[in-house]
Amino acid sequence: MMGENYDLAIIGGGPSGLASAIRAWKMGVESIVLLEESNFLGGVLPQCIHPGFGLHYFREDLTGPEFAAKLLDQLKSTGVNVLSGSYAEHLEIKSSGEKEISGYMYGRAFKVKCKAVIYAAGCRERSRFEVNILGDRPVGVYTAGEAQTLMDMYGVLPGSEIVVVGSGDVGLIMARRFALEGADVKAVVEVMPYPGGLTRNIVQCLEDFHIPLYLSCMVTEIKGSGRVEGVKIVRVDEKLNPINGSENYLKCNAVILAVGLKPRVELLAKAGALIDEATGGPVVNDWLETTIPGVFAAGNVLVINDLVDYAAEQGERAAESAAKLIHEGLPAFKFKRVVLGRNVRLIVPHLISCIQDVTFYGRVGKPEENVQFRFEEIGRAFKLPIARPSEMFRFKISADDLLRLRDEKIMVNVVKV
Amino acid sequence: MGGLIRVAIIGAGVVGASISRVLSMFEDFEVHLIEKEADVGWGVSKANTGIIHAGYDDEPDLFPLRAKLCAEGNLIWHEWVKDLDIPIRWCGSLVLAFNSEGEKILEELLDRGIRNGVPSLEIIDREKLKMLEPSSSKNATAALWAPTAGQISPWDAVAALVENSIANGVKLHLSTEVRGIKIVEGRISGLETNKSFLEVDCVINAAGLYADKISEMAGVGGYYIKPKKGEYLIFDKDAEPKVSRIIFPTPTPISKGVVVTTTTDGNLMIGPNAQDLPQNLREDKSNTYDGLKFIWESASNLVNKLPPRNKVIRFFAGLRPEPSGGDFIIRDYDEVFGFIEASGMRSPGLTSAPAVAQMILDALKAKFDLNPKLKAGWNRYRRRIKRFSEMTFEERIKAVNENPGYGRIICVDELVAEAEIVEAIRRGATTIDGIKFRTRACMGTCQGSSCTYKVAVILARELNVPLWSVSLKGPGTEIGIGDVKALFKEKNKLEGENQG
Amino acid sequence: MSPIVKDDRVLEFTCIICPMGCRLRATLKDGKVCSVEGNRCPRGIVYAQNEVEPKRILISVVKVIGGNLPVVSVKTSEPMPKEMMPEAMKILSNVTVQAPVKIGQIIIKDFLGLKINVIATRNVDPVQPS
Repeated sequence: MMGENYDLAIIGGGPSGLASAIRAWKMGVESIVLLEESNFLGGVLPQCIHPGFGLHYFREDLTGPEFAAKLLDQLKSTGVNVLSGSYAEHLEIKSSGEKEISGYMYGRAFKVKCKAVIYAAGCRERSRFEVNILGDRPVGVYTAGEAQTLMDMYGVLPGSEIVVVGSGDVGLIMARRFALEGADVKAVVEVMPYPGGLTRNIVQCLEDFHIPLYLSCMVTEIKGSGRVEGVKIVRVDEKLNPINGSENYLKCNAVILAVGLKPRVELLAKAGALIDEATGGPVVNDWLETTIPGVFAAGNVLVINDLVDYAAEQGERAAESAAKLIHEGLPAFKFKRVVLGRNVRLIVPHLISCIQDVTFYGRVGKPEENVQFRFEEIGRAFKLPIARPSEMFRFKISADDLLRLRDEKIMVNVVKV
Repeated sequence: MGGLIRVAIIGAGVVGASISRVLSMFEDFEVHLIEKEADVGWGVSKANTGIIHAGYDDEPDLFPLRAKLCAEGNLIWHEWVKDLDIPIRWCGSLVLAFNSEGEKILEELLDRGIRNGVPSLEIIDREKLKMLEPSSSKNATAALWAPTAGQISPWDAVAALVENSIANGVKLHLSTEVRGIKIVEGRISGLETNKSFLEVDCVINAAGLYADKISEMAGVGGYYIKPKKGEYLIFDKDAEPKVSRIIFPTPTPISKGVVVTTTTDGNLMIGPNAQDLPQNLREDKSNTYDGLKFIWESASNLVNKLPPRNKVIRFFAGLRPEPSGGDFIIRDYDEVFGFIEASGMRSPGLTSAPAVAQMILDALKAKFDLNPKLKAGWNRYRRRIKRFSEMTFEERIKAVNENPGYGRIICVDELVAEAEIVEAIRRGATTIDGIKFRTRACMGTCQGSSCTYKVAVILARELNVPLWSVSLKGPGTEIGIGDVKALFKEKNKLEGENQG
Repeated sequence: MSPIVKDDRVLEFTCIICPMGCRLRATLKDGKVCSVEGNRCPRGIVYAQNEVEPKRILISVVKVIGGNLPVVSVKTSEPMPKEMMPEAMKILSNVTVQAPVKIGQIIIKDFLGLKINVIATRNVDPVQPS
């Protein structure tokens, strides 16, 4: 049993956890521990071998492993203590405000005491059971992340005839990966009437390889009991209900599921943090502090990001807040609420102090062209030619603007112009 | 009769494994347990409600074996779970009635239970029902309370029985499919399998869904097996509300109905429906939209509230072997000496299995004119794999110190450590499902999307095979079709041949 | 380079410069874009001109011997012609490298005579003797 004291503990060694460790060190936090569940650092980055990472954060087009390597290079020049392969089971808040994280790693149990915690545990993929795909349980059904890991970390080819369920970016990217390795990608099937991923990926992952995209279609059943033999597909109406008589069958030997991600909030929730149903992540204020004082959240556990750059940015933000807390304490505030208005499905942070600049991240509920994002109470608006649920919006509002807020809340509306 | 009696038990489900355990106690038998799948307990035993019934369900005049063996089996399980360290909750079961008609049926059940020798049965009023099970439906007017019923983990039970059998000398033959039965001058002389010919004196047919096919091979039988599908829904561990008892509806002549219960691992489970399948669909374990809907609606009637639908982490289906005659088939034949049936083990087959085993032993004694001698070194005990998730904090620290692999958590949802997985492999698991059922890895909220590959990596390392060839459930279910360049290898080869 | 065959095709594709995703229709004359329709801004025209001979970064993995992982991720140092990808993948399927592999290490120099390299995008350490 090992007990150690730190100023800051970071749970999760993915992009946001790494970025926060580096930033906190630069801000003068000298005793930091980074707990990573897996045996390697980088989170999902090492398995994402495609380019498109880092255009904002490093001003460079990098692949996932390269993005991770850059962060790890920076981490090397810090004195952050990294515990790889360590599973954090409990987060306990002492009456003194001190936090204690306990868990296990190869060969020992550990206990870490600290003043602040940055929780950056990422997310998990939704399973076929969460989207009600019926059928037996043959081999060959993988989540996109699983397939990525098997192929691009461990060199295993999961199938030769592929159906991808879900047209989010991961789904599209995996469709291309399979096509490149010689597999016949039969289709990408999307239940919504519009694709879930970026246009760039529709073009470069599907059109480049002549992979059909079936919109308003749903995979209802997987056939086969030993190995996947095919899938049943049905068209859906506007209310996403199956249309009778529109059933179709596609032969395949692997089904790749890209049907959504869920923040891994279990540890936070157990410790008493309030969870937002819209994001699936914790409720946070503009320090990215959860409802547990001194516990911050960043990256995909906070909100599912589509760019790793944003996850890293949130990590830095959380690190700055944690550093402030450790060095001088965070000021006590009566926070004002951020309220979801028309066509805004989710937004973080949920609470704002109005004394500092705030970067808002969020998603709309449905696609709309030529829209304005209005922050009515302070008279600010942002124009966008198109808003899609698949593309996260990000707006920075300055403290000067926010100071004008007189109400107890600020509502964000998407309005057609 | 001199020398060892060589016995082949076909089918390593709960029935075959119970028989093998009982026979392994004696010096007189050389026991071979034959299983077509890559692991034990993967047929009927894998997917059922896991209830050790009290024994009031079956009408003794109509189904004498079911009625007798269920009540007896329940008693024996009370001992076996202790000997073999099988997870069980002796939580009791409740049959709810919602009106006077239902209450009349409860009276019938009570009367039947008493005739079957079931102890401590009681009809209770709404007040006591609420006390025993606060989550039970407000609309229930009365209930039959059977405190001796329990919830078992059926796959743990089979693994335990087989491990204990092997420790006492039973030979297990996995991935071994029986192709024929050799009979010489009216006596069993051996088994033809996909692997070899096995000389035996006696064949016990515990082949579950395929028992009628085995009987045909021996030229006996005269019955058939109808597959009956039952579907289930399982909720996440944190789903509320929970139930602490097994809750049944008022039964109909066809079925005991959809049950609400909590598994030994703490997941709320509802099911099954009962769907008769054509005889050729003995592997159809697919879920159906209608089936799941029916289960949901039926279960909703038994409790005040089910957890929200998004707390369902998985659904599955199992098949039950419905014998054409309705009752269990436990018998031998004059025309084929040494062929003994232990088939048609529909519900309450799991409960009855230990009593069936006892009956088979009696049949062997009579047939071979034996007075079997207990083995001097027979080991009645077996301990299951130490589960990290069930240890106290002090135990965990000790475990990690003794075996560093206990500190490496592979399945986060179920808190399964690498050391448990390695131990499961040492005990005979060779597949991902084998690991899953022995350790619960991949059974949590994410249903394996984060840990299946980690389990596969450990299997590949321990079995020293390429990762792509690790299988979900035996040959033909490898996780990959080859390495990542397999398709190009094929193409290059084809092109080479075309040019050459 | 002047086109060897007369190339007067009409090409259709989606512009990916911004989230609008304009559906472009480019008319070619002797292999050169002479008109573009469907664009909502001038950037669409530039995009259309580049897409006549589209280039992409190729990503894949190649096999590693003696490494802690059996494959290493690779990419082309520069975008390469899209239509050469199948040929490129075939070559990569026959490549094997010995661990250790360093990020940025050149796996194939002057790939397909394109004056670009195939480079490793991660480190693969030699396998630890266990």
